[in-house]
Amino acid sequence: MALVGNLKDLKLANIVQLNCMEKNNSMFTVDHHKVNGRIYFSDGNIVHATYGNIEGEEAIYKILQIKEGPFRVENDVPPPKRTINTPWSNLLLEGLRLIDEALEAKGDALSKISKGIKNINGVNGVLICSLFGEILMEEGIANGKRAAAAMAFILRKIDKVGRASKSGAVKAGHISGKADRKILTKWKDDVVELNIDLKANPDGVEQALEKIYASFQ
Amino acid sequence: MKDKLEEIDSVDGVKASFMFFNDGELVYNKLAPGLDAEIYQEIAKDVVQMAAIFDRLGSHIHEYDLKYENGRVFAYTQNNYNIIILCNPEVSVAMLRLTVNVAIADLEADKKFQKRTSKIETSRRSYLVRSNMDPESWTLVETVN
Repeated sequence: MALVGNLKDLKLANIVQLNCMEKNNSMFTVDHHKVNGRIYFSDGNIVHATYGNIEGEEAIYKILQIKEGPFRVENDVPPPKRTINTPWSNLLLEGLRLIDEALEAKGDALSKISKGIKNINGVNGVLICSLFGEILMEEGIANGKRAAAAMAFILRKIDKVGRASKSGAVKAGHISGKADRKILTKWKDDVVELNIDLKANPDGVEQALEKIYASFQ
Repeated sequence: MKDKLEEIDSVDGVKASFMFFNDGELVYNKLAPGLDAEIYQEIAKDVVQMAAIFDRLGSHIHEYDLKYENGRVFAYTQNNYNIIILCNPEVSVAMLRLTVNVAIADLEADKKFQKRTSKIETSRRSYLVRSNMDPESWTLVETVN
């Protein structure tokens, strides 16, 4: 019988450990942002992995970065080939080291971006979150967790409208109400929400924001 | 209604515009190149869902100006209906806003239109249901709720 679940509930490192220690011949699959990741276990080791078109150790490191997504582990699935010979514990350690390194670099960039944004005239609040609604940085935003989930939802919808209308990739969304004005943009894979003053010029704020993003290209 | 959409369509840079009532009726004069009525419905439902999320946050948004690499989409969300305008990136924004504001004012002063919108009982919130979206979006909606 297959084991199914979500990586937000069961960490991949634990799934790897379990399958390797029990010497399972199994296949782990996960779907993440419409990309499929697979890990094949055989005789107590990881022997093959794919993530989209990538395979081998590089695929393992990509899959280890996935924090959330539906997964499935099926037993008695033979690997189609062998692309990995490194012991599983070494793969896990290296994968986790790479994640730490990437997080540190991202944290550094986010703190510089937020500092730059706060200096833009007319900006009252900033929220940076993932497309899954995880808060990465917030300042001056009420109900951070709900706001992050809402903005992640809105940006997904804006993206979808762009695809459906054949307008291409999203650049920015200016959202206005009687008492609110927001600019929503995407920085790499994350959502950036700026709450701006009703009297501020949103195009001017967007241009200043683009300059900040450009300095991180 | 169609005459108001015609006025919007005549603004420089507008490809097409349509109106979507929350009870599902779609009104349009023409289809933008490569799009069909089903895509208009899909876009409209996404816009209504965005408005419903802002309702949940207690934030009443009326204009969405969405900028893309190859186009711009404006959405005006009213209580029971929405006007969605598909544009080129270089659309004349000031003229468009003026035309839309006049169109909305005229529509809302029109007795026949008032009668039409007053019959609508479908709330925006009813669009925020699990069957209308992917699981990841639904998880986000649950957090907002």
